[in-house]
Amino acid sequence: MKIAIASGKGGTGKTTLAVNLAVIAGRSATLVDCDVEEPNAHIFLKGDVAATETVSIRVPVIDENRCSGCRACVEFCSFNALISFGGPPLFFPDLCHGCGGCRLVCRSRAISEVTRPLGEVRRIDADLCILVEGCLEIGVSSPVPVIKAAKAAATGDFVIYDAPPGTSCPLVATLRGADYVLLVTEPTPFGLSDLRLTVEVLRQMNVEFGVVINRAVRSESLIHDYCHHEAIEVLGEIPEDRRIAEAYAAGRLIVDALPGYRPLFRSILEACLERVTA
Amino acid sequence: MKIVFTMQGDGRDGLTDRRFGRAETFLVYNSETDERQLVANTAVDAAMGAGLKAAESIVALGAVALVTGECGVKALHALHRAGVKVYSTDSTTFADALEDLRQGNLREATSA
Repeated sequence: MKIAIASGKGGTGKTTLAVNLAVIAGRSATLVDCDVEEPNAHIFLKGDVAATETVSIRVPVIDENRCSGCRACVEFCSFNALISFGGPPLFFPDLCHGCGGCRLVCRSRAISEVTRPLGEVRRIDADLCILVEGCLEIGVSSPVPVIKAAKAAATGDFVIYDAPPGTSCPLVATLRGADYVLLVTEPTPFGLSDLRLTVEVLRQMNVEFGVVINRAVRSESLIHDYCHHEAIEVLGEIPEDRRIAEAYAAGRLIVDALPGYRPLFRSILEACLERVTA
Repeated sequence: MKIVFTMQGDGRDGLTDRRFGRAETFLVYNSETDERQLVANTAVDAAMGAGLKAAESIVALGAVALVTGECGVKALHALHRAGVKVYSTDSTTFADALEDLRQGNLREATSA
């Protein structure tokens, strides 16, 4: 079973929810930190790195002596990683997705491939669960292959994906294959705006989802009103509580620092499991 | 000598666009004949690499210089490889930008 935790807006509490749910679920749970541009679940789930794997793609190298300047590779590349001013093409590795198509369409056999490292996947045996963390190399702008590799490295029956913020390719790559998605939001106009965008993505992907409101205050019904109107279930509310912020800032799990919140996280987890098995 | 200016909309209002790859229209100015030609930028909706595609287009149009607001590092690198000079302007109209270029008031963008 695979549950993803997403939000759209950054800083709403995805990682907070993800690490606490993983710990509540216990030793059989694997948490995958898919926020590969800034993985931080390891701050809360401490342990030794048990295995490291390099993630790379194959990118083209052009033999200028063989190239006929026919532009077949340039026309083929949808990401404009290859351009030509008439002669052999110029290659821009940042834009390359490593599909290998340019090599296949080259009639002069002028294109070979080399490996370009994009990042790393680390498996950490934390005390309370297993953590798989994707980490993008500095300066690299294509996180998707690292996210896919991190997800593939997660074994075990119960997996939680901690998604990156945003609603573009990295989010879609994280959500693919998830049985259920928890959307974490906060009762602010920014939280609501990004929640709407993420709901649109999820509806297009046809994945089941529910909402968890973080930093909830009783006087603010913004998110409830929206969810009611859209017939979206609210599975739980983490209240605005200064002690939670203090625990977080100290790198502590809420379920450890404030055991009174354990039943809340357990009920969110159980609600998820029910929705998946129903 | 052909010089390309980046323009807003279809370019008829004479307003420049600060962007290169995502400008809707290129104004190709011929400095010998004073002719002006408006050409749609086909890279404007590219998912990625619009600046590179646009660089390819203006080179194919025969440009030897580009006048725009900002040009990204990849497009700048490509244009320099093609021998195209890139000038940055803060002018909001083609007329002002052209005058600045003539007076030698524009700074040439260099690779970082």
